[in-house]
Amino acid sequence: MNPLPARLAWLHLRSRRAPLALALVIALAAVLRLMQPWAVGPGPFAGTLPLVLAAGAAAIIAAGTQNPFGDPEHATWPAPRLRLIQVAAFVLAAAGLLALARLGHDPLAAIRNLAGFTGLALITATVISAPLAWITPLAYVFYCGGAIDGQIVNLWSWPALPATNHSATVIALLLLSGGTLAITRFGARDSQPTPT
Amino acid sequence: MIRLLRIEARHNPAPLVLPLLALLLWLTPIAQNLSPVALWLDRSVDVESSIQLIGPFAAAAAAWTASREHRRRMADLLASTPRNPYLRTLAAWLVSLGWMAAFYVILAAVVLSITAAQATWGGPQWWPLVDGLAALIMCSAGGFALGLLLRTRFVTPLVAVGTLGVILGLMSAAVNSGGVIGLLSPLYPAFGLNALVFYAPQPDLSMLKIVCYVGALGLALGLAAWHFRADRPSIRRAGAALLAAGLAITAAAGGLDATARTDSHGIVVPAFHNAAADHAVPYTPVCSHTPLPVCVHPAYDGGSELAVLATLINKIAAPVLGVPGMPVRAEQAPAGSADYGGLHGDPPVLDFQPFIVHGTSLQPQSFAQYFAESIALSLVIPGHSPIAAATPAQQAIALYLLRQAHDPAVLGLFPADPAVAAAAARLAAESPAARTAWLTTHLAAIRAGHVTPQDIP
Repeated sequence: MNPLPARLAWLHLRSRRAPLALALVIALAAVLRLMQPWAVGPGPFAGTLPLVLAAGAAAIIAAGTQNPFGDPEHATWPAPRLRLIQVAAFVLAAAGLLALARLGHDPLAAIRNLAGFTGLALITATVISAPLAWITPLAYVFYCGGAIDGQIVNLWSWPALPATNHSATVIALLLLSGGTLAITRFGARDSQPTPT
Repeated sequence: MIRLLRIEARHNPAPLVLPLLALLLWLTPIAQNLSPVALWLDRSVDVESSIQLIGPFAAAAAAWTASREHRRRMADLLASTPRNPYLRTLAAWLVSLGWMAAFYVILAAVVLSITAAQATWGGPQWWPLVDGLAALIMCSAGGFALGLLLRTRFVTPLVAVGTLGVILGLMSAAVNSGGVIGLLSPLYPAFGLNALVFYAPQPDLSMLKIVCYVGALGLALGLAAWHFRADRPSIRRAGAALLAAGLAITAAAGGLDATARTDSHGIVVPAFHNAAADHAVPYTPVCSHTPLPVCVHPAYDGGSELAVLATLINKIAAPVLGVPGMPVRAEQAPAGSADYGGLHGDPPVLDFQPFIVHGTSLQPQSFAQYFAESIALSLVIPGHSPIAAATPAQQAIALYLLRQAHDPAVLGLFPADPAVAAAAARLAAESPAARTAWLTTHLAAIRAGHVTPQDIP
C-alpha cells in the first residue's frame, strides 16, 4: 500500500471543512467547561447536559464526512483511507477536548459517550446523509434523559452510566467501530448537494 | 402567496421528523404521566415541557429549510426572480413552523382529551400551552435566522444541539443554582406544584415567558431580514425595526425576570401579578376509612393515590395510633414538605406534601423511602422542625416504626449508629401495651429532645 502524501490528507481535511469543525468542537468543549456548574449535581437536567454536548461534537464529526465532490471522488483510490484518517483524527481531538472540559467530573464517561454517539452519527451519515446525522444521537439523548429523569438507568441508556461500567464502554466501542467501518467503506450518503 | 405556501407544504422536510417525535414522546415521562391522577394544570405543564423535545427539531427543521437555497446552489437563480426574497424565505419558514405547531397542537389536544376523561376536579388551563407554543415559535425562528446567516454544513446540527443545550442549561441553572435567568427556560414549570389545585393559578411566569419569547422572535426575524438588507431598502428598514423592537422587548423581559420571586403559590412577577386573584380555592377533602384517616384534595382522587398513601401512612403509624399527642388525621396540604415535620394543631394533624402517585406504589424508589422516613420522623419531632435534625432517640423510634412497617430505612437520615439501632430493637421487643404506656408518658420529652436512646426501654 502506497503511503499517503501529507498534502493529500490536508487537502481532504480542508475539503471537509476540518478547521471549522475543529473550531466548533473546541467551542463545544469550552461551553461544556463553562456550564460545568450546571452540568454536575443531582437531577435530570444536569445529567443530560453533558450528553447533549457530546452528541453535538459527534454530530459535527459526522457532518464533516459529507463529500462535496459527488461521484468523481468515489473513483479515487485513497478515499477510504482518507476518511479513516479524518474520523480518527477528529474522534481523538474531540475526545481529548471533552475530557479536558470534564476534568474532575468523570472525563472517561465523556470520552465513552463521544465514542458511542459518534458511532451512531456515522452510521446515520452512511444510511441517510451527513448533514442529518445529528438526528440519531440527539434522539438517543432524549431517550437517556427520560431514563435519568425516571431513575431507571440501565444498559439501554448506557451513556447515563458511570465510566466504571464496562458493558457501557463495550457498547460505545462497538458503535464507534461499526460507524467508522461503515463511513470508511462506503462514505457518507450523497442525498443532495451540501453547503461548503 | 397561498400557492407558494401550498408548494412549500408539499416539499418541506419537517413532516419527516414528526413520526420520530411521536415515538420519542411515547418513550418520555410525558406519556408515562398519562395515567391517573390527572391534574389539569400538571398536564398542561407536561405539554409545555414537550418543547424540550419539539423545540430542537423545530429549530433544526427551520435551519435546514432556510439553508435550502444555498445548499442547492439556487441562491443566484432565485435572486433574479421578482418576488421579495425575504417574504419568499419567510413562507418556507412559516410552513416549517406550521408543521411543528400543528404537531404541538395535536399533542395538546390528545393530552387534554385524555385528561378530560380522567380529571376529578377543575378545568383546562391554557397559559402553559400558550407559552409553550410561543417557545416553539421562538425556537423555530431562531433556527431559521441561523440557517440563513451561517452558511455551513454544520448549521443544522449546531442549531439542534444548541437549542436543547440552552433549554437544559437554563433549567439546570434554575434548579441547581437558583439563577432567575433559568425561569425563562421553556422547561421551567409556569406554575408551582403546590399551587396546582390549592390556589388560583397565577400566570405571572407564563406572561413573562411569552414577552421574552416574542422579543426573541423579533430578534430572530430581524436578523433574518438583515440577511437580505442589500436586496431592498424596505427589507433593511423592516429588519432594523424588528431588531430594535426585539432587543427592547427581550431586555424588558430580562429586567422583569430579575424582579421575579418564588412564594408558596409559585412564581410572582410583580409587574404581572394580580394580588386580588391570588387566593386559596375552597374544597372538601376526600378521606380514607382507615384507623388514621388520610385526606387528599378531590383532584387527587382519580387513581390509586388515596389508597396507596392511606396504606403506607397507616402501616407506619399503626403502633402509635391512640397515643395522646399523636395525629388524628393525615392531610395533604400545600404547605406540607418532606423536609420538615408536618404535625400541627390540637388535636394534631399530620400534613404531607401534595404529589402525584401513578400506579400502585410511590416512584421512584428513592422518593418512596424518603417520604416514608419523613412520615415516621414527623410523628416524633416537633411540627415544622427539619427532619434532618432529629435526635438519636427520635431516630430510634422512627426506625422502629419503619421496620415494623417493613420499610427499609436508608443511611442518611438514619446514620449507622449502633445505639439508635439497639434502641429501635428494644422498643420492638416491648409488648404493645408497655410501648403505648411508655410513649404516652414520654412523648412530650421525646419531641422536646430530652430523651436519649439509652432511655428507651
